[in-house]
Amino acid sequence: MRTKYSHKTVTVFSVFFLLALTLHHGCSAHKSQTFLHRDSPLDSVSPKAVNINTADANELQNIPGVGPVLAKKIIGHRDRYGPFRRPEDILIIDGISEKRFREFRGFILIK
Amino acid sequence: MSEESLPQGFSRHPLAWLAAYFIFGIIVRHFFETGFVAPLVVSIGLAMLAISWRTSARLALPVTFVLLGIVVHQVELSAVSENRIRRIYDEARIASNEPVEVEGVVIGSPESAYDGIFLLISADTLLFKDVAAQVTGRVRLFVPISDSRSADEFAQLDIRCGSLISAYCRLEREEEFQNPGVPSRIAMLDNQGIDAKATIKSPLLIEKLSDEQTLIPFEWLYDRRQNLIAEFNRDFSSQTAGVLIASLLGDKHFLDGRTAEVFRDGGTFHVLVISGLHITFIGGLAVWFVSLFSRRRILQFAIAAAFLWAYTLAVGAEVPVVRASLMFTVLLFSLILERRGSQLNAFGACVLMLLVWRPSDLFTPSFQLTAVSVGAIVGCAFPIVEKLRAIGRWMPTTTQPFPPNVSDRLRGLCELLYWNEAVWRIENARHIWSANLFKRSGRRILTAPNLQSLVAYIFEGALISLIVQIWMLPLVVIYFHRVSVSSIVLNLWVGFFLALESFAGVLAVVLGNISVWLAAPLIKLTELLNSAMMSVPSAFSDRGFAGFRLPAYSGHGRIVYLLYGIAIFFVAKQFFAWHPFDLRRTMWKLSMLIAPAAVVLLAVLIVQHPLSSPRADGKLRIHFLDVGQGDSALVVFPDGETMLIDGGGQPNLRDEDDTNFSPDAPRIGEAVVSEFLWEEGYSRIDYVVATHADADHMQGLSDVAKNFEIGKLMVGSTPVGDPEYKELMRVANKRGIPITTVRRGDAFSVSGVTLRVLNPITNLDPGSQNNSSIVMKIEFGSRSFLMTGDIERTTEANLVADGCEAIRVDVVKVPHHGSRTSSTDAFVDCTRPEIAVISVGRRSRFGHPHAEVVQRWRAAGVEIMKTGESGTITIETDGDAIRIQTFVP
Repeated sequence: MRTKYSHKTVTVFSVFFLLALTLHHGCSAHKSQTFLHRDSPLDSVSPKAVNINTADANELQNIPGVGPVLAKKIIGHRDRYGPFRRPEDILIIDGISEKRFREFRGFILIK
Repeated sequence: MSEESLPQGFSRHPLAWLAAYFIFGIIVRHFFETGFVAPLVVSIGLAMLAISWRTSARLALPVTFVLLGIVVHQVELSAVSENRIRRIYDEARIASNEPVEVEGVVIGSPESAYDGIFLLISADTLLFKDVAAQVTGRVRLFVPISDSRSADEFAQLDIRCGSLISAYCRLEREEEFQNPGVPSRIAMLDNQGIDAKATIKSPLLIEKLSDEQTLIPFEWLYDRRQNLIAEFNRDFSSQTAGVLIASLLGDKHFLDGRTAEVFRDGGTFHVLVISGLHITFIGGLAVWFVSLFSRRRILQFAIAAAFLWAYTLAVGAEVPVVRASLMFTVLLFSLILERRGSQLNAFGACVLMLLVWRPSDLFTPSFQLTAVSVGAIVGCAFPIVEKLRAIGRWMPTTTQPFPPNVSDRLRGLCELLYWNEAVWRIENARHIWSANLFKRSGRRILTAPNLQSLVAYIFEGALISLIVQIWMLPLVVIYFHRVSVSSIVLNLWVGFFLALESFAGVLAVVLGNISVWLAAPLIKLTELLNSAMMSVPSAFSDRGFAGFRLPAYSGHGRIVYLLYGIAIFFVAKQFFAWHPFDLRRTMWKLSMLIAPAAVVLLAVLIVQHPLSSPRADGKLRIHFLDVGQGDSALVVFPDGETMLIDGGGQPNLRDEDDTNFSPDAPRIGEAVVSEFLWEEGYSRIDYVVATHADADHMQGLSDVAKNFEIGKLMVGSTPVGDPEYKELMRVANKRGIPITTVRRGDAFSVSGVTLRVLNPITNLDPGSQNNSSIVMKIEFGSRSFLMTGDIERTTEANLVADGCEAIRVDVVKVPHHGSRTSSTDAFVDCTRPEIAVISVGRRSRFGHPHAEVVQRWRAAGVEIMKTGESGTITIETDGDAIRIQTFVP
């Protein structure tokens, strides 16, 4: 009986040891996660930036990568669903990919 | 104590009966508009009556529970509040796919998938057209993560359980693929408790507003899960990681499509979903662990239950997991109470609780599968196993002085499995008398006690698995269209190795945090166990005897399944009432064979499905299926022969080099076209026509060729380099389907219907796939149809040049989904049909059908019908009159 008991104790302790290790690991991983702040919309906006809530089709085409088709889509969206709340909202329009948005992010603003 | 000594009308498992009455009530409410007040008043009245006047309880209680079922379901149906997202979309206050800004709190942890992240949000505000509204309901958002940049952007948001976020997205709550037999998309969302879903185009469209307080233990659990998913993905091969993540952590999005198919084929897919089997295993493990310390049953129960519910919460607390955990907890509790016959009672209690919680779950496949399998185990398999054990272990006692009254062969089998000579020797020595028992000599084969218990385990496992399979037959046929006889064996194999693999995998990951060196051999071992687990099911699946697919009866034919259920109930009742030690009864009466015979007969009727396909009525029918963007049409000839023209499909948008992982996503050919054909009752398609090798026409045919017996496959050209074509040829060759090429000038006749092939001109593959589509004119009596594939201007011009007479028809399938590349003025003018069918999704990525094309047909006085709007369009003719039916009225 004695040997069986010690065998059991060893099993149980080793399980708890491993559990404790994973717990420790989980918490440390959590703490070490770095928190980066998003680019603030103001510090990288070009002086020529276009207000996408008020600009007309010609002004919109001053944004790099925006041609007449996209300008028309942007105005259509604005007319139908109201003004954009954030510059990022423009991504919802078909034809504006993440890549294109990153390229003209500095040239648009919301007022 | 035997059953007979109980008072009359007393049941050992009253809750099981009450649950049955309750279910009946829910069913009644499902089919009849009952209102709310009348059943409530009557049920309260009857309940009072039953309490005050006990003898009436036998009648009053059942009726009360039926009425309560009605009331509870009625309450559920009418309790959807005005500002629930579900209602906003159902009442079309906002249309699907309109951009809205949804704000709400993240429930559970963000769920990673191989190509993005799922978020479940409890919404509180919906901003549409600059107007904000307070709402309730849950939405599921998918954020695709395409590159490291968007992964970073998502990570920066630091979204966790309890975060308040706002997302700009196109919420959807609408039907898709509306054909008979294809499950409703809205019903599927409702079953998951989700009001609407959306794919958010970019993580940039999400804004984190704040973090709400969550309980730290929950947060820790969610963190552990996320970390484990990442660690499994890092340490193991994609197949092993997918299996472990799905089966241990409840995230199916990393599962490889081909692996999943092997499991489905062998009827063992349930091990990859956190289900009853897992919960039993984990709960059992917890009980065993606690039992090392304490013999106090109540403590064992409390700790095991706490552990189990923590696990349930950590894996996302989806409805099916909660259901399984609740069942396990209640059944365990009943075992702790140690009441005889209480398992079935506890099962009844579970069903009652679950249905009071969510009455409409009764009609979901998930609930039905869980309830029937647990019912089979608790109500049939366990009692049988217990009786067999009692027979095998019998030794003379004061309560059971006589040997079991069963046939010698059965007794021999039971003794072989359960007779323990050592126990008997001890028992015999304790008494003042001694006895010689003559047990079967066969048990000498299994002298080693461990070997005997191993064989007994395997036997019991196979028996339970078999009984569950028999009970589940109608459900698996209706929902999965699959019978896997091999699953009885495969379940044992897969279950055993998956358990070992899980231990090795978890241990490897845990040790991996300490030392990579320590973990390395365990990772190897896990991979080895995984390939061992996969080996047998793969071999079965490859050789095609893992299982087979079959259609279901529809309409009134469904009564077969009900009758089967009733027959099973009576067989189970016979087994339940069987007393092997009762000396008074003679074992077999002829009347006892009625129910088993009925089960066998009905099972044959279900599996062989001789009456499932519609009877030939001398009419020609063409069903144009709603396969979204794509083409698929089923032609049913007057004598019942069938021809499938194209099978829909989705273009593979992923990179070609990423071929060693294909996600386990539903495919059009399986989830839409095959489902439709099964619902119609077919298991054989006589002719399959692949017009051309575009994914949205040909891809689905590979699935059809796998699932059905095909008489002949017809192609127009042989583009051997095309991936869809290659796949179709691979399946056709494997299944021995004869392939013929057809071209202009070919004509053949099927039961009085003439089919003329008008295109392609040559079988050699020319430059454009679309223009080499098979064009077929189908003539029956004075009526004719033109099937056009994706032909464009050039081919249309060729057809027109040969004279309008050849292509003047009553119905045209508009070429190329109504694209502006086709339907030229000359073609429209020449064909001049009554009806033009456009096979196109409700919303096409390509903008199909183009407005000018629709206008062109309309201007010619043609009625336009679209599969995306009407669902399946069925056109029927007896050679003279034409009748049109649409699935969506």
